[in-house]
Amino acid sequence: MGSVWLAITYIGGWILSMRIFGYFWKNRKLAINDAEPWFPENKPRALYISLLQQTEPEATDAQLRAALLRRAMEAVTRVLSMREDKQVLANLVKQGTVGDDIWTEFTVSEKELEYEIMAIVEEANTFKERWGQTILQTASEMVMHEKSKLLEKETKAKKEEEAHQKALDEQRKEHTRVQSEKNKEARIERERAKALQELLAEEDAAKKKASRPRSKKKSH
Amino acid sequence: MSTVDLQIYNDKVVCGKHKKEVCSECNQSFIEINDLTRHLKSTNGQVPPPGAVLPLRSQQIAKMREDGNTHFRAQRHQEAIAAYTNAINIAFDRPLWEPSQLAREELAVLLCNRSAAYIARKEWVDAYVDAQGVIELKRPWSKGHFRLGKALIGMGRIAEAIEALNLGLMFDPEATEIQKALKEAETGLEAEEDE
Repeated sequence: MGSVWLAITYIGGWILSMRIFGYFWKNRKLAINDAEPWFPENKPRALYISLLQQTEPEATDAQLRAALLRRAMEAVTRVLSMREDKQVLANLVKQGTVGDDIWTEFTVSEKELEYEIMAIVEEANTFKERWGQTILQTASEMVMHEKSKLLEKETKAKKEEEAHQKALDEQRKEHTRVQSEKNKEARIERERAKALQELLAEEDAAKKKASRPRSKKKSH
Repeated sequence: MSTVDLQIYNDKVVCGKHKKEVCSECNQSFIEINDLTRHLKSTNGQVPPPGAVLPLRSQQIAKMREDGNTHFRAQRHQEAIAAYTNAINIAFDRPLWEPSQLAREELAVLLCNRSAAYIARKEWVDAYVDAQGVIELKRPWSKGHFRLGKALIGMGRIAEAIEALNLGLMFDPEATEIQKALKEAETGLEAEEDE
């Protein structure tokens, strides 16, 4: 009888530990799937696809080409940023500072990007033969060029900021000027009051002096 | 697969709900794509080959720059600024696929000239901002640092001016105009300290 109970506890213990292990394992799996995608949503790509689907009126050829160029630019930016990140990330994974889930996400994104580039090249060839060979080169030039275009906006923003700063400075200067004038007036006022008091005191003294001799005379 | 809610209205790509080019509600901006479309139309349906430059724009810019230089030499600074500003606007509108190196050079020279014109009119803030643009575009060029230094002296920020001028001298140790400006700034600083 005792051996039966022993067997039951034994098996029950096994099942319990399996359950616990399974529970944590499942949670971990979920956590891996939760890892964020390497890049945010590819907006230029979505834009191109939406443009292709436009009816009444259909998108013009130039619009589609522009959208495709934008999509290629996004791909180029992503390739550049991945190339930069790859070495660093590989080192971090080797050290164990970063989990394998991030590395998995990275390699998946890399593969996706490869397909995206192939898709862009194919699309470009549908517009014009052999555009696929040059579109990425053009796009990378455009990415560089866009950086210097940013200057236009920056310049405007900077001008406004500097003007604002200048206005503030002037306000402050004006404020200090007014303040110092007020201080000056107050000082002058104080001095005047003081002078008046002194004058009164002197007058008093003079009166006393004047009255004393008289009293002396009287005493004589 | 995600899509963007858009439509085509008056030959422009706009957001689907409000027909706006830049829509804060939909959080979308179609300016880039419409700009690019406008530039692509001017190539008559050709695909832009890498490194291609339309000569017309460069000619226009060069002409306006010359106009500006003539005005500047004749001390008509206001007109010079107007000419340079026009040229800068055209230069900023250069199609994206044209070589960025070319655009940078062109813009740097134009901004530098406009900065000089602003300095001549004692509009220090504008001169300062333009000079900073020059440095951003073409850092190893001592002229940009010289203009920045001049503008800062004008604004009364002497210490910063000396810093900028010294940086400019590092790129071109023989620039006499920078050395002169530096001396001017240093005497200015001494005078300030004496006060």
